[in-house]
Order: sequence, then structure tokens, then C-alpha cells
Amino acid sequence: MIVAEHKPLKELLALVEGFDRILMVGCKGCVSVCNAGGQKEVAILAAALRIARKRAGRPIAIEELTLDRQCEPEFIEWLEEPVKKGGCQAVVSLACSIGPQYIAEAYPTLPVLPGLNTTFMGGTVTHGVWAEYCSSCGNCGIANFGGLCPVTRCAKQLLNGPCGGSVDGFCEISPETPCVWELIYERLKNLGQLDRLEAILAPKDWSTSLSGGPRKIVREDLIL
Amino acid sequence: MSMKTNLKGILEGSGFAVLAAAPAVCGTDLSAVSDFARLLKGKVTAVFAADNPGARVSASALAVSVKLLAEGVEPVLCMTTRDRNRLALESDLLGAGALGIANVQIVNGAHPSLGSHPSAHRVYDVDAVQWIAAATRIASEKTLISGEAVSGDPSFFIGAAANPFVKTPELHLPVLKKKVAAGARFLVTAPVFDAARLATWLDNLKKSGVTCPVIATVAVLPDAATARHLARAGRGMAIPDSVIARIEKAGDKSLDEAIAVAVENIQAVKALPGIRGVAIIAPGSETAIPRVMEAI
Repeated sequence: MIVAEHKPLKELLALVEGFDRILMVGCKGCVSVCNAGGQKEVAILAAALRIARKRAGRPIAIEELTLDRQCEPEFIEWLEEPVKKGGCQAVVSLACSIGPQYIAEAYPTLPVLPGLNTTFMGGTVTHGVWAEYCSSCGNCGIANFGGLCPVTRCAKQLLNGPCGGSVDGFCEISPETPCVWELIYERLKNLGQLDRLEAILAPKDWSTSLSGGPRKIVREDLIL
Repeated sequence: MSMKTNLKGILEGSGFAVLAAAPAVCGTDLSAVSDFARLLKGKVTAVFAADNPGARVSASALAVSVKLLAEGVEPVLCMTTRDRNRLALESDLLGAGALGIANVQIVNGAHPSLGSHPSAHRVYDVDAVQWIAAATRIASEKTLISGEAVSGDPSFFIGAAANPFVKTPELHLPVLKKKVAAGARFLVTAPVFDAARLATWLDNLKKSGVTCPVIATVAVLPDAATARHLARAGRGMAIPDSVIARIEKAGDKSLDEAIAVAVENIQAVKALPGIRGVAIIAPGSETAIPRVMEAI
């Protein structure tokens, strides 16, 4: 899933400065699962903004709405009524950054503000802890690495083994970041594939990643 | 044509190489590099021109190499894969070849988060193994990674980094084997403070089939606080507490003690089978290097 987290309240207050009637839109997709932008978080964040603005003597009216998803145009259409009826001056989206961009495209003259920092593609480690597992390079090579991804989980995205900064199983950037190459080694050992460590992997083709420019998939068989 | 360098001659022969690292200058006045070159001219095999060492910005390794050449000292151009993509690396290597620089030390480099620009975008388009292979191919096949032909007659003598003090040699030795298979002709170790551990590693290296010459790095630690920081920072520096304590106890004579430590380390490593040279680094105290060299 896409993992995100709230922007700090101070930053959000600065973003909505100058507006006194806004719509805050949550998303029931990934950001709801990671407790950043679902219905509950919309309610909490809207309340926090209202309280802060009231204390500052500049009250703000915030209408709340949570869409099934913000990364589908048909769900964005659901904003039509609250945007028009409520007369909101701006929309704060609590989706990953796809949401505010879809809303911006649908409402060319309406300011759209991101309420979240979209952080990474990852998964739950334990309750309240998420970690990054994929950088969407567009050309998955994890079969070479026992099913683990050094492109994402090695701070230097090394494809031919660990660097000398790997100490006691942890990365040189932090004693809390496991060296993925240690994990890859264990996996390959368990799989009887340690010989994979001997192969020199050629420079990766990054043209399928964001380096090649914004990407798009067209599935002719699905186009109506 | 194969470019002959002092370093290549010694390592392919039976001599013992003595290298030192030039001062890293964050600025445009490279007179410290020229002074350093004059200090060591005729006394060292070659001098390393570091590439933003420790992920801290300094005048480019290429510029420092040119300064060294101008003073009649053979440079070793360091190249990290951290800051430049394959286009920039290839471009700089061709430029180095054009300027008569043939010794090249290829490393991944410290992560930017450890240096002076922690908010920088890291590159690592290619890793050290891949860049060693590509740089080797530029000389041997006269082609870039893209397959595009290069003109002229490039010739490089390529080295790689090795950390003998990692706790999982079974994971790290295959990387060294790959570096050598890719074209590295010498290995330069992380700073050595424990010759016994180095000896064990050399033995493992030999058993794994890696036979290329090894140059042991010996450091003159600037002071106890820096030593403690380096030991803690997780940069693969294995500095024993006893060494830090010695330097700390020396008080205002800490540099003398750090030199004494370096001298002892050189004496301990130079007798080890497989060690074909030493590289002396003394960040911030480069003028102390001749005193350390007296031990060789």
C-alpha cells in the first residue's frame, strides 16, 4: 500500500491561512489502512484545525467527507455537491498525493492543499509501524536477491552485494536500519542459492523507473 | 598502449607501495595540495585525490589530481558512485585519461546522510562493481556502458575498497571477488588498527581465491573525540577503545600519540603476507605524514 503521514499541524495551519471555509476530504484506500487519511483522521485533523483557528481568533468552517478512493475519477465526482453547496474556498485532501492532483484536475480554479506527506510504498511491520519495500522501478529483479529488494532496502541501492559500511547487520545510515544484504544472504543460504552472490549484475536499466519520466500503463483490452 | 604508472609498476612487480591521501580542500585555493605534493615528492609511490570523502564537499578529485601531476606526483583519482550517474562518471574518466591520469580508485562512497549535505539526492546509478567493470571495458574494449565507441587509447589501473573488519566475511568476500573479476587490480583496506584481524582476513581472502595486491590503510587519528565519533558512526571503522584512550590520555600531545599509533600499525601490517603497500591518511594533519613514513 501507499503509506503516508500527516503534515505537522503548524504546516497545515499555514496552508489554510487565508481561508475560512474549506472542505477536508479523506480516502478509504491505503491511507485509511495506515491511519493517516481515513474518516477518523479527517475528523481528528479537522477538529484540531478548528480549535487552533478558534484560539487564534480566526475561526474556520470545515466540512468533512471521505471518499471510497481519491485515485479514481468517478469517486472525485462525488465532490461536486459539497464543493458547490458548501461554497468552500479550498480543499484539503488527506489522500496520497494522487488525490489532490485528481481534485486539482477536476476543479481548475479551486485551491487544493495536501494534508499528508506521501511517504513510500510499503507494508505494516507491526501495529503502528510501517516500512518501505518497493520503489516501483518498473522492472522487478528481486528473484536475483532471494525475493528481497536492494533497490529499495539498501540505502545505496547496491546490486552486487553490501558496502563496507554494513556493520553488525545494520546499515551505515542508522543502527536501526537492517542491512538488506545480510537478509538477502540468509535467504539465499536457506534457498541453496548462494551462488547468486557470485554473479556480476550489469548496470540496471532505470528507463522503466521515474528516471525515464512519468510513467503510464495502457491496457487496450480494458479500454471501453 | 598500456599506461605505465609507478603504482602499477610496483604492484605488478615485487615492490612495496607507499601512498598518502592529499588534503581535502573545501575551496578554490589548492595551495595546500601543492604544498603537500612538494612535501612528499620522491618519497611516495602515488597520492590519493579523494572524491568528496565522508560525503563532505571538497574540490574535485580531478582538479586535485591535476595539481598533483603539476608538482610531479602521481595521483590516484578516487571516484565514488554516490554523486554521479553513468554519464558523469564516464565523462570524468575520459577526461582523466585525457589529462594523463591512469590510477583510479573506485568506491561506493559514504552515504550522503553521513556528510555535509544530508538532504542531497543520492545517485548510485551504478554500484562500485558495475563501475569497475565499465571503467575496465572503456580501456579494454574502448566502449562505454551504452556500447558507444570511445576514441583515443584509454588505459587505467583500477583499485577497489575492502573492509577487512566486517563481521560477516562470507557475505563481503564475494563482493571483493566480483570487484577483482570486474577489473580491480588492487584492494585498499579500511583503516587498520588491528593487524591480527587483518591477518585473518588476508588468509580468508587468499582462501577465497582473491590474489590481487592489498594496500593497508593506516590512519593518523586527529583527536580522541573524532576517533570516538568515527568508531561510533558505523562507517566500518574498527577503532579499539584502547587506541582512543591512548590518544585521549596524551592530552596536548595527542597528535604525537596518534602518529605513534600509526607507526606501530604500519610496522605490524607491513610484514603480513599479501600486504603490498600502505596508504597513510591523516585528515587535517597531513604534514605529519612524513613522520609516519619514517616507520616504513
